[in-house]
Amino acid sequence: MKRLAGLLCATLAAQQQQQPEAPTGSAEFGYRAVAGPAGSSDAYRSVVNLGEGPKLFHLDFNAPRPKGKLFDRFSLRADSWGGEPYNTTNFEMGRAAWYRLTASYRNLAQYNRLPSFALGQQALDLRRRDADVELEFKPRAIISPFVAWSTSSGVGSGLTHFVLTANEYPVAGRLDDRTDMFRGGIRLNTRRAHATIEQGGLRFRQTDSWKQTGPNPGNVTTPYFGEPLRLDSLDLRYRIRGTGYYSKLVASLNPARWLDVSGSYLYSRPSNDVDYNDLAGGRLVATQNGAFSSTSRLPHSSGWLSAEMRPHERVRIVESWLTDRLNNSFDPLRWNWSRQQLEGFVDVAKGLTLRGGHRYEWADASARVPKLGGPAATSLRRQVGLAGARFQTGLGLVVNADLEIGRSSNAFFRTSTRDYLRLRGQARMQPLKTLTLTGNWSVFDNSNPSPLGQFDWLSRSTGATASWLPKGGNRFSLWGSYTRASVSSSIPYLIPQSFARARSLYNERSHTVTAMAEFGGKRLRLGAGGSAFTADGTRPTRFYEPVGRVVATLSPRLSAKTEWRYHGFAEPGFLYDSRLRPEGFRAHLWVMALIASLK
Amino acid sequence: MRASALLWISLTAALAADVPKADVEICQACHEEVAKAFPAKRHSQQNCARCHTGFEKHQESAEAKDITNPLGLKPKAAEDVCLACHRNDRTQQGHIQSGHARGQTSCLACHSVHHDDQVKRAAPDINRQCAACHTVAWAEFQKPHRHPVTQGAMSCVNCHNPHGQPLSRVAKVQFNDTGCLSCHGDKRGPFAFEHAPVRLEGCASCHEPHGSTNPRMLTRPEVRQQCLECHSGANPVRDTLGGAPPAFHDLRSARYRNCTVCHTKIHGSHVSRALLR
Repeated sequence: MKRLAGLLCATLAAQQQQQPEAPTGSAEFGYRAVAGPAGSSDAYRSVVNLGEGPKLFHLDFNAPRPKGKLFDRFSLRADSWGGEPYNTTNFEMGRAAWYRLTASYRNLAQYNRLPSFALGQQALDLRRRDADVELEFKPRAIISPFVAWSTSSGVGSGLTHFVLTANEYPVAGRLDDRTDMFRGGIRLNTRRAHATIEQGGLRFRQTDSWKQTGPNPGNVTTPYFGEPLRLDSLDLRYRIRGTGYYSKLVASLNPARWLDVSGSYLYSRPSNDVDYNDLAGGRLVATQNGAFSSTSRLPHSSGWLSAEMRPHERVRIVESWLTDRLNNSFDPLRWNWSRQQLEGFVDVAKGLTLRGGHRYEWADASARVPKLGGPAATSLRRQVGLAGARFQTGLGLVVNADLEIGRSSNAFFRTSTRDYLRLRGQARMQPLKTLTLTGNWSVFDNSNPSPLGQFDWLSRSTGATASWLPKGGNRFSLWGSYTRASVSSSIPYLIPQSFARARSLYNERSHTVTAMAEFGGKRLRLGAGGSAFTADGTRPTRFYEPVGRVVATLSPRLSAKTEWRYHGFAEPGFLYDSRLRPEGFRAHLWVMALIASLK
Repeated sequence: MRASALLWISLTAALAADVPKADVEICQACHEEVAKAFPAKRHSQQNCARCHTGFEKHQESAEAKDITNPLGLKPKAAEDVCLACHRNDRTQQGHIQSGHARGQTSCLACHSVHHDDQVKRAAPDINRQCAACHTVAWAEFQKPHRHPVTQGAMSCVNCHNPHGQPLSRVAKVQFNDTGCLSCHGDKRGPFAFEHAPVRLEGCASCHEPHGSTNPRMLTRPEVRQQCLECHSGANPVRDTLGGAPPAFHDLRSARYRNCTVCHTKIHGSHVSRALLR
């Protein structure tokens, strides 16, 4: 009888489910006003870069089960359009078992001009546009081919230095680079195996041009043998044309219930052809008229192979091997690196899993180094011990800990990881269905000896997150996190002009708080929160971004939003070039927006 | 009475002739909310018993203890429920040695199988989910010089593969994959004159990829520190690359404390051995 009643209810429910679902979507559009920035506008643009004007803040449209035979899934999402520094769009459509089309577009402003960097004489004002389109045929079939195209371009203006004997001259120029990558292949999908064979190629072009008309005294105003140096004209062109291709094979196999194997091989061979010309005039040490061309290639192969064996329901053994090799044909840079790792996992008791293992890395590298610059070739051998544990109690508390201790024969560079200890832990608890607490901590301690003195690096961090959603967050929700972190670095070096020993010291002690609380009902909802970052040490920093908002429901499909944001940045007491370089800013941003939804 | 009831059921059954013979229809009778929450064309096409073993016994007894709930299993066991179908998906290629697998973070920690948004697509949703556990990484994105993750322009999965990648914790750049270079293609090279640490140790040898208190997301507040820590001026030890001959730059001058004022092509140059152009 119970089964018959169930079938009856299920029948009615199934009939209801077969009706196409209504599309959903929303749009948020409005206006942003900016009061400020007070302080450095270049720093504001480098860090925040939000401007004034009408904006489409958000748009999304989903058709979960539309009528028609061309597609049975359609979704579109767009964020931050209307002169915003970051525009994104994502699109997906498809028909199950026939095709799946995904596309994404991103337009990011890359503005950077800070008084404290490179004497304030280097700047970027670019727009980076990235797009990716992939079309997969018969995604659920055993064999599914795919094709894809992606592009990334950066266009804009910049400021850099033109370097000549005894002086360097800040000059403005135009930057333009673009990379197009085409790829295609097939995917083999079975219950026990998967493989992807992919072939791709890229086309790269970069054209930078720097011009100077009019006198430019450069950074050195001291006369050179009684004559002041000056750049009166410059025409510099940097033209790079590159191509490349790659072949990729990825495969995974489940040949037995107790064994999984997966691996990948990737070979790429990019190359660049370069033409460079510069013609400079003025009061210079020597006539400058340069023309260079070069061709470089970088065959690069990498691969990995890993296996997971489960000889017992409580035991897992994971073995992996990785390798990476490259060779620059022009610059004699060569790199052969390999890593082998063996790790075991044992469920020793209910809720307790221990793991332990060993990793071995070996590598050889050679580079072109100037005379008196040091060895051209060196090798590395590293032994790493691994250990970890996971503990779970019946109260929903989960604790995870991970330890790594490495010892190396040497290091490639003075600041490389060499003899280190890495310890991480995380705890997660859900005392209530609506309350989740997470805590984590980490320590990384590295030392790298050298005859001048040892490089010591120590970083520590402790953080906690809380998320509370009583009654599903309909009336009140709270999300917050706090992190305390510290970094300490010390390494000796020789002062170039005197060869006296000195120490490069870097310290940072920071606190970060982020939070967002929302409360209200169906008619009115209030929100407040934001982030606050403070750091003391070598570069004291204060960065505050509080936010407050009110959302009022005007009708079932229309809401109004008012939002206030503050961005405040300061570096109290930070002396750069022996004098204060004010980079701070303050700005208040107001947004008035309407939110319209389909349902 | 019984005859009319049987007729009613027969008619209903006739109307439901298109309903597939799967257990989900029976489960809906008691678990209507879960069945309604199933997204169209995704797991709703599957048999509930595929993930919830012990279905037949539960169907008779209607007791929760008689059926498997993956949420109540050990992480590895819960993962195996998903991987029974998804083990060889293209998204799981690096799963075996991934950080999440080593830390026994199961699929259910991020994915909710029953709900419509089981795979989050929007950047803010992805970031909020990762930040719930990766508190320290989230804090790094609150620093002033950062990738635009908190602004919603990028998400964690733009650089990291949460299902696994060969080198866990590290973005893909050093391993012959695009990584940082998918946006910063002008740094791809190859260059006629390489800057060795860029190629051998990756972008993280000088930059903090999440966020930094230092301009250009560098790991040091002044460029001279960044450079002189490797180019120490000492006749280097036999076993390290990265030395350079003394340049006799007078650090008392601001020009020489900003190395990139002259060494403008610090990522590699096609023209100048000293990376001047």
